[in-house]
Amino acid sequence: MRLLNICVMAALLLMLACSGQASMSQFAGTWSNTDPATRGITSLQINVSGSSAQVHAWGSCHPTDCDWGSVQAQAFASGVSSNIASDASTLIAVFNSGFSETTLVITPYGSGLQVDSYDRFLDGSGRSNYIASYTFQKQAAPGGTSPGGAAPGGTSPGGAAPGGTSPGGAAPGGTSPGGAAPGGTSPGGATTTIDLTGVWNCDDGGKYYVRQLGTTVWWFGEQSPSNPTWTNVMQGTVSGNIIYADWSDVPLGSVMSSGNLVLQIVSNNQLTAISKTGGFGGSTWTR
Amino acid sequence: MNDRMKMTAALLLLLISLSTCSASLSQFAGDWTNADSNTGGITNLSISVSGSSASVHAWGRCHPTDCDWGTVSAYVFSADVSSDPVTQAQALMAVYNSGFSVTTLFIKPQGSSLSVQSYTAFQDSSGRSNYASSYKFNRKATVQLSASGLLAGVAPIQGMKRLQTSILTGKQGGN
Repeated sequence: MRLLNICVMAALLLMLACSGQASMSQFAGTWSNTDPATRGITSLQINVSGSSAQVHAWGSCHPTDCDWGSVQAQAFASGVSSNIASDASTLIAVFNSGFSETTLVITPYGSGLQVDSYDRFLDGSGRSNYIASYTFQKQAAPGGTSPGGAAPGGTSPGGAAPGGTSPGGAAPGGTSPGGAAPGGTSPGGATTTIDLTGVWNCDDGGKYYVRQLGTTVWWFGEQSPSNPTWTNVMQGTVSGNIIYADWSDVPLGSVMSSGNLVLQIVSNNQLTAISKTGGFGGSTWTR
Repeated sequence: MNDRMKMTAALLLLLISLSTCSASLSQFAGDWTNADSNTGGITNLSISVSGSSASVHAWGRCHPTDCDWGTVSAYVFSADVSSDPVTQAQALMAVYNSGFSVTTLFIKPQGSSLSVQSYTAFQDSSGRSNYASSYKFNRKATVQLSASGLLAGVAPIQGMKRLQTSILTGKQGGN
């Protein structure tokens, strides 16, 4: 019963938080994704001046976040006669990487922000357009340094989003996910010369039996052929030179964990983990 | 009080689950009318689906008859880059450009209805403020022709079938 009361209160608070109006100043500031493990947008910096706003976004990349750059946002109020500065309820920011376009719909969410991201591919790669939703909280220490830091050679704005590549793409020096990847992966993410099928060794001491069918990859990994401490299975999708995967231990061993993996296809004979959750031990696979 | 709270919680959970589920593209197809018959915005939508493509036809409130905004191709969005948009479409985006303004519609399933977020940005330097609107659309009641002429059908379809049966056979009510 107590749980029900809490649920009802939380739902009512949620509805109230979603329906409130905002001023432009409510959007201003530096914001971080409430999910620190997100593979999508990690940080936003919104600068407001009167009735206009600039949105700067960073996407998840390794080893540092990718800088999507800054774009002019459009602000929306409730009516044509509204004062945007005092009544803005939504910002829309569009990032174009050349091979994809990401539209961010940003609305206040309590004291945070709700961001719905619509990623649309322009490169004819056959990848499906996709949506993602995030919540952001204002960063506690407005320090002046930009959230993402220097854009690395990683993926770009849609970056590491589910499926991989994304819009900002503007990461200087970086290969964009849709771009050419080691081993000749095509923009659509389908590998043309890479075949990961085989038996691999990992720096966690385990042996991994990998099967690749098109852009889908599976493996069975074991710590030892006899009485293994751990055994796991994985299923992932290849996008460019990145594999986005889910893994889980299975009860041939005694360890029981699960999580996500983002792996980089360094070559036909080497994989490197970019991010791991669930306490996964291995980082480099070779054969 | 307890029963009321349970019912409220159940309704809220149902609402949340309905608003977050994915949909097939066919779920968007059909003729839709604004749940608010007095809306000053979009009154009707007609969404056509073919394979993984969709087009949206919209009408806006005008007097004496609604204004036809025309038909545009819509962008289909799924949960991720590997999703099949035919079976896992989660949203449509349709963009209307009138020359002096651009209206972007984000269309999502909401139970058996559609939730439509509309964003209109003015391009004419008129000083008007860009504005956002939210609408709920219900599927339009169906109309079917039978051999004996026009039958005014109403949803649900079961009701329609029963009406047709009674007209054609003279049987009234019951199963």
